[in-house]
Amino acid sequence: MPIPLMGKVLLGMTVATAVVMKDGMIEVNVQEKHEGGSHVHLFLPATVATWGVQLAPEARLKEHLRHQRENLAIARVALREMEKLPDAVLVEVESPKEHVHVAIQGGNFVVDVDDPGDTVHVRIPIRAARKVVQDLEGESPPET
Amino acid sequence: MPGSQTKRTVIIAALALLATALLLAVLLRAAPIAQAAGQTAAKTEAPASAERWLHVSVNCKNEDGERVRVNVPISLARVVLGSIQKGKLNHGVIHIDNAHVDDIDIRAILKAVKTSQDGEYVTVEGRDANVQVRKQGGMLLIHVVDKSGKHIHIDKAKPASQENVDVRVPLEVADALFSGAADELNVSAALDVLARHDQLELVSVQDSENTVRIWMDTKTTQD
Repeated sequence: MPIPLMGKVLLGMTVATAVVMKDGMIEVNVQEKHEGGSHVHLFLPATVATWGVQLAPEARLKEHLRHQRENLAIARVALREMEKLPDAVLVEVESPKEHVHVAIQGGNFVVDVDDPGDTVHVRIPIRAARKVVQDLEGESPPET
Repeated sequence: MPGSQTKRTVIIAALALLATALLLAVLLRAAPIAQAAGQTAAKTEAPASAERWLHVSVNCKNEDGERVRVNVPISLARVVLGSIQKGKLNHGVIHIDNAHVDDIDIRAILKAVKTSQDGEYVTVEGRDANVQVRKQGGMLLIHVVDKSGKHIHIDKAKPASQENVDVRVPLEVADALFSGAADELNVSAALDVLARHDQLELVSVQDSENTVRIWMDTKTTQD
């Protein structure tokens, strides 16, 4: 029967979409201002980043993280605290030539830079970033 | 029964369709709504919260006219400081073994100041600078007028003007800062005590080119 099959497909799609989207979206937008400058615009589910840690080659990951355990712990603590914060502008630098804006917006860590060379916009869900850092911390070997 | 099974299947399919439509609607609308919310929040007055925020504002009046605004929640600063164990910083405590504090008993001075009456304690009037230290209502107030012209002076074409520095420290914060061992500054404890205040003007530096202001309150922005 077509209806039950369609129902199952839609239900599966709903669950899959919910799983993929539950951590929010990462957005990276870089526009070089010079003539012929490149424009990179990424918009991907944050869950992909959390999966990335699991998919990375374990030995190489451990090697890279060997001396980062302490920094990762600091980042995890900072991100956990940032998750609790309301929307706010953390840093703002304004001059005639450049503009830097670091803020928390709707649970996202948002960085905007506009200088004579580039325009950069990065939006990362704080919860997903914390998960990634937490996973990386779990993978990092204790310093000997 | 085949009839009721078909009915149930139709209901499941309808529910799944509805859920998908809802999810897609939410996802499609989430980004612009979040963006709009951010813009609205920026335009309206900052909401007050129980969280205490430390604000730093720097305005340069030179040709670049740079403006810097930093807003840091004290809880975040405290937690991050508390998690760092590197060099001289150990879980919110700074070791000051290189500082020449052997000859001065800062704790004894603080204790004496705390138990003393309000008033002006130190007045130095020199050719290069005037310094004033006084106690007023549980606050230690330091006022320095630097006339030397040795402070940060960007526009070399103009003569250096005098610089006014005002520092206001609650005595209990200073107390907490020196609550550890003789060669330690307990920054975490000082931040804890600082966070008990609702609003506090801490540092103000002003000269002809720059204005620096550090204060804390319950607002998330500086407006």
